Amino acid sequence: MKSFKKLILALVVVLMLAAVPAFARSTYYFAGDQVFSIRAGVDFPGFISFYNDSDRGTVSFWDTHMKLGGFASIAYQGYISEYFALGGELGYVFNYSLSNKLLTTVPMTVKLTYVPVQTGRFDLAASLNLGGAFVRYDDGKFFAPFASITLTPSFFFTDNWGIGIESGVMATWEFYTKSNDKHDSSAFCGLIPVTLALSYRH
Amino acid sequence: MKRNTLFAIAIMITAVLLLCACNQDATDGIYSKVASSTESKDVVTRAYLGTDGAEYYYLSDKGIFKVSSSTALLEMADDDKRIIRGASIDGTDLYVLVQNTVEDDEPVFTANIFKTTLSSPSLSGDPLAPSYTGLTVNGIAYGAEGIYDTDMTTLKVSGTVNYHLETEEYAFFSVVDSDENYKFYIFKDGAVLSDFNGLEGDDTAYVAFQPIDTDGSDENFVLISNDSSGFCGHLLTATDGLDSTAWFTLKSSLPYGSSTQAASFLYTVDTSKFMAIKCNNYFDVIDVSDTTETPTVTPIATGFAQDIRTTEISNILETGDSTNLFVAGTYDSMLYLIDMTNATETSLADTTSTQIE
Repeated sequence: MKSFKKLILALVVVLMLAAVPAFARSTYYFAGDQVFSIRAGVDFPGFISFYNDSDRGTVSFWDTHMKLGGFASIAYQGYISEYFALGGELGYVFNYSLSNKLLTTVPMTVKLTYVPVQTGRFDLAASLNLGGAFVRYDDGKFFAPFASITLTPSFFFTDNWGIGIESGVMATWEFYTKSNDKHDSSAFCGLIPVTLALSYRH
Repeated sequence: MKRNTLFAIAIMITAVLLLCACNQDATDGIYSKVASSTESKDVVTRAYLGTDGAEYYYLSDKGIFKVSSSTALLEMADDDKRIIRGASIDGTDLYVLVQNTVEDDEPVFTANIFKTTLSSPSLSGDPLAPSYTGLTVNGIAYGAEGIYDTDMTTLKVSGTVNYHLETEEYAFFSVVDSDENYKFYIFKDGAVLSDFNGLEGDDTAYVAFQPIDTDGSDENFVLISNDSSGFCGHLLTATDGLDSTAWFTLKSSLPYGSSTQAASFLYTVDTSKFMAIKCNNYFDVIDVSDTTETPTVTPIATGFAQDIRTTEISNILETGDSTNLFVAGTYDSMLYLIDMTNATETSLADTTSTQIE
């Protein structure tokens, strides 16, 4: 599991380093440009951290007792400057637990994207999503804070259409106050999406 | 002003999210339940029956099986439309309670007990003589007339069995006699205990039963009821009978599942004794060492409880191999071996539960 984490990190670093030579002062986007994107792919269980329960602590990857799941989303953003785009994203995440019960997460977020590398044909974008998510599992459901950080290298095969691969971490926070019996069950849950992203820019 | 308005909206949204971020519906955290889920074998264990030394046997929704084989010893329903409703193992003998649904093409509702063997199980012979309504896992048969002796044909207790609760060796019966009085009986190894032979009872539907003192002449038991104040433990002793006052109250709620009895077991640490009872999402552990003191009740989610606390459990029996080893029948994942040998008075971190393959 640790080697898998290191592999992900290494891939991210290599991608960023590879992009450095292409980093140029000229930009492709301007304020007012728009991007519509659809993503679909898998999501790996990342971690569940019971930060109030030292006995359980943090479990990661398959120790979370979650199976490989799926993720899909649609997003719309408008460029507010040459490098930053702001918009929203609506997603759907599903994972089955070991007992084959379905965990669903529906995040609704504000999405801020920074595109440091934009050559016209190739983009490298880093996105931050903040918002909330509906989470449901077995007889429980709640609406919780949600955040994600992702990296998306994309190749535009026409002036408008591009395809990329997105990955990163998305996290949900389930918390209980000290007076609640479930206080020790407060947890952060992290999932790792790996998706294919189809974008249309205008 | 505009910036302050945006800031205020962001604060309000954050506050709403924080207020909504707690799961009010279930009795356990969502991610806590996910992390405690166990691999489903698609086999619903109705009762763990015991071992013959080498094999573990269980009654599932598909019939009677041994863990080492996916082929049923006896299928749940046979060609004569008879359905297995209970089973008990006694050495190499297998007793099977079978419900008859059809007779001469007419619907019926009767039940028989067949005595067969584990090595060659069959329902083709003649059943035992009486007509039965129930069979405990530890081998006590009862019918419309009352409760039978170990031979399953001699009537031992007359009356109508209201319900029963059982453990490895003991069985608790609530019986309504011919005068419509409620009586309690406790059997051990098939025989009625003299101090618990027709105790004055009540119409309370107790949902768990655990012997806590079984040495010597003064045997003590715990019965769990569902009172208005919660799930309460009551002492039942030879000297004082049933204490209607709660001795302790569970911290967790008991599951509302297919089983009428919440599974429990008793483990020991040096001279101390602890009762562990399967609740909805936790095991509550109660220190029952001293019946004159109010015991502590602690919900447990780690150690042996980690992998089995969210699944329904049919029953938990001692393995018979050594103390502090138990086998639990689960509704999701067949049988689990619970090992309490490394329990201490203050920590259960080194206790384990392992799926029996």
